[in-house]
Amino acid sequence: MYEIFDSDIVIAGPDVFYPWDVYATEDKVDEWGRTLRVVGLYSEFVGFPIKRPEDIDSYEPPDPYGPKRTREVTGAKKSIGEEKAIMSVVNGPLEPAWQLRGLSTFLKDIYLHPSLAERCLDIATNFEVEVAKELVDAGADIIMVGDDYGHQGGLLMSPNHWRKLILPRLKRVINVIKRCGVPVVLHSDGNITSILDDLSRTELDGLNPLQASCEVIPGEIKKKYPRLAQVGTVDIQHTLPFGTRKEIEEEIRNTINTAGSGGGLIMGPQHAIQPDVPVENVEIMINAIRKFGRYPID
Amino acid sequence: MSDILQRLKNSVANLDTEGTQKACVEALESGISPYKAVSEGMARGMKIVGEKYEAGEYFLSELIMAAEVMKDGMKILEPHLKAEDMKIIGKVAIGTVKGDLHDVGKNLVATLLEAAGFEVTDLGVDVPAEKFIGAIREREPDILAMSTLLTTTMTGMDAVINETERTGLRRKVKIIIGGAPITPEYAKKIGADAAAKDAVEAVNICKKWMEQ
Repeated sequence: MYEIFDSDIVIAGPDVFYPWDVYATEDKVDEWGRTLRVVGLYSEFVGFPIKRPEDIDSYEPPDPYGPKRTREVTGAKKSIGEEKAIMSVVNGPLEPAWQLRGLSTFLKDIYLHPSLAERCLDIATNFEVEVAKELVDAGADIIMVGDDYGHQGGLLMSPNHWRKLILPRLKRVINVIKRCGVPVVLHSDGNITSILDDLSRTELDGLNPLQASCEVIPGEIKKKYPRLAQVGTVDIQHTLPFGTRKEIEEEIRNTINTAGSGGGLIMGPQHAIQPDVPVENVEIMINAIRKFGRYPID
Repeated sequence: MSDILQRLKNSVANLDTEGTQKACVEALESGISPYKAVSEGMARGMKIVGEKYEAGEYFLSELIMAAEVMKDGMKILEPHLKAEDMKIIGKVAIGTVKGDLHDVGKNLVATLLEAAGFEVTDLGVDVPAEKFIGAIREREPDILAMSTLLTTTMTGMDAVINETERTGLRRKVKIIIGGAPITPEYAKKIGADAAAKDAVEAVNICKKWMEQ
């Protein structure tokens, strides 16, 4: 796939998520104790290990070390590491934390059981920091920290809660990776405009996915936070699955014109290409990026 | 009496579970009808919560928390509520469409609708078209509400609407849709009556329909 589309970055996962088997017919429990259910073309957590607050006292998080974390990175480095940048992925503090409790329950914990919420966030942060170090040791050139803070219209929690609970722990993850000597990109879906100032003051090197439909607009980010690289940008909620050739090309040209000058724009789909995207549209996207994305861009 | 109703309203608006439960107990003890405690107390607090969300003071976690506070209050009032006292402003059948298990938004809409006085039939997640059709036949809702997070499953909404047309049920219900990829243009394209950008707007649209 990477060869066909001549991608400059290859993503190699740390295998921390779950046994991602889209053909599974039964629920599966992963190493965190989360229950994963596959429905149609997608899978989702439906069961969570810390059911009652006191369950956290006996909770054993998974081991961050071991060959399975680094297998993909090591393999990718060996086979294509000379030509391609290897990007690996860890989570930030929030996602593994809410996945111990369930999203709605965790968002209520912020009010009802604040110390439990903090303990869940610490479990997540401690784990991700160790995995990130392992991945860089194994040869990852870039680390993407995936942690969704937004939904379509705004943040999952108030900016004040985010600043108190998430930001210090996120900084710890970012700083550890930076000390290892590789760039860090934050992936957060949704409308995160209210925390972009905070993020720009961390040591982050880049942002992903930049959803213009959620008011995170590449051209505006470029103006306001020129230091931050932009990774992604091509809309997967509308343009890529449903757009015409003209619409896809126009979006890409517009993004390159508004956010590409001086560099710092790494284009591709905002997120995993969903199974409803026609292969032709992926080709149109790649060709348009190659065609319009030639320097100098004014 | 108005003091207790005021406290009910404020404690829900301030996401204060204990305060809400305490005020519910006091309301019952002082002879305030449970219906009034809901409609003139907690429901007004929920209205403030919605306004704060729209004003950017509250976020998703506060909406979910408010729904929890309201539920905790209802636990105290419910045993004393007589079905005939409850004035239902409308009936809604709601579900996440087939192929999609995401339910945070759908659950929130369901709870906020209940708080606003709707009778809600929650069909759950991964709901096939025939189940939506069955619910329209059996429950005779005024409104059919569908949710999805994924682009791969949003076309399932189209299928449900087509099915309501084929079975002659389309004119019996208003249809509202919501979820991350949903836009007013998409609603128009598939023949839904409205698209809601969030849970608060969904409730406002449904209330407006019932006033017509």
